[in-house]
Amino acid sequence: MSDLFPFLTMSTFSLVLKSIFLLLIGMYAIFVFIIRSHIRSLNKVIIIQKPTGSPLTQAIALFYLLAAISLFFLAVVIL
Amino acid sequence: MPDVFVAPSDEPKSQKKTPAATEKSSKDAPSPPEPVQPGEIASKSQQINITTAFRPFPEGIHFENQEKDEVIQLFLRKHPITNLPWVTMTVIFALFPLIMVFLFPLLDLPLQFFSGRYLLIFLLFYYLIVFGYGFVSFVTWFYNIGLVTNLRVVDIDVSHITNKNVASTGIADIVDVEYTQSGFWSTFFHFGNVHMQTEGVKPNFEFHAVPDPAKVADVILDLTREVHKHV
Repeated sequence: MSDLFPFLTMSTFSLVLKSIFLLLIGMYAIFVFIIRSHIRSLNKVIIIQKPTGSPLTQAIALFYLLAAISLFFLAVVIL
Repeated sequence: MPDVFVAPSDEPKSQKKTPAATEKSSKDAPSPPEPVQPGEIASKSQQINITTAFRPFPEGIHFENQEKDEVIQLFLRKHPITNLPWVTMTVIFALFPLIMVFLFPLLDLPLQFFSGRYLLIFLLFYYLIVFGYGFVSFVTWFYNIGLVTNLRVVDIDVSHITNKNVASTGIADIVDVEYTQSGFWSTFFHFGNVHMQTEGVKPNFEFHAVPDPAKVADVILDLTREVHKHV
């Protein structure tokens, strides 16, 4: 590959790949944040109390956001 | 509909009947139903759970701008079977990497320059997206709610995750209610669309794919008749 693209060394390729991964995961984390905000606004429109209503969806949305943020930091650390 | 609230008997409890009188009365009149504690049925059947799509007089649910004297008479969601397409897709997407594990050695793809770390992050990201797809689909179904109260009809539509539409109309404004059931699935699982025609230029209302559409239409029609009687 370095014969075709002399500027594309293995380290440059890794850097580009890492940047793409981080950009995608970061954008996805923002998307998940929007989903969580939307669920919060929906829970103001309609309140379904326990056992499996609005608190459950909010908890899942929070878990989902934390998972997306954790993945972003994991990618920063290990890539 | 069973009698939930049984009025207490005026007869004093201390008054004892003779065996003969008891026998006679049991022959003449049918035995009274077992008294049901108020709230006993409600606590068992009126609670909304995660898959509830049809519930008369639901408990533990409120909506924005609900009046103090407003009682929710009917809680509606799309029939749970309408979730089958996205559930199937989520399962297929979740199993896809496992299938690819067996396919990659056969295809002989040049993946050696992807280190294990990249594959791990890619796989985690992939499953996060799959989970997101399932969750967003579930939330879209979960918050797509129709409510019939003694004062109005409320329709909460969540077409996409960033798009919500809350509409309501007074029961008195509804002039006609009709329902349609078409296709194999809606006939088999007994769900359909309930269409409410409103007066004048006000937008019409529709509950999509609700269970037992005939009963829903009947409840709304009864309420409108009741309101129009008093007008």
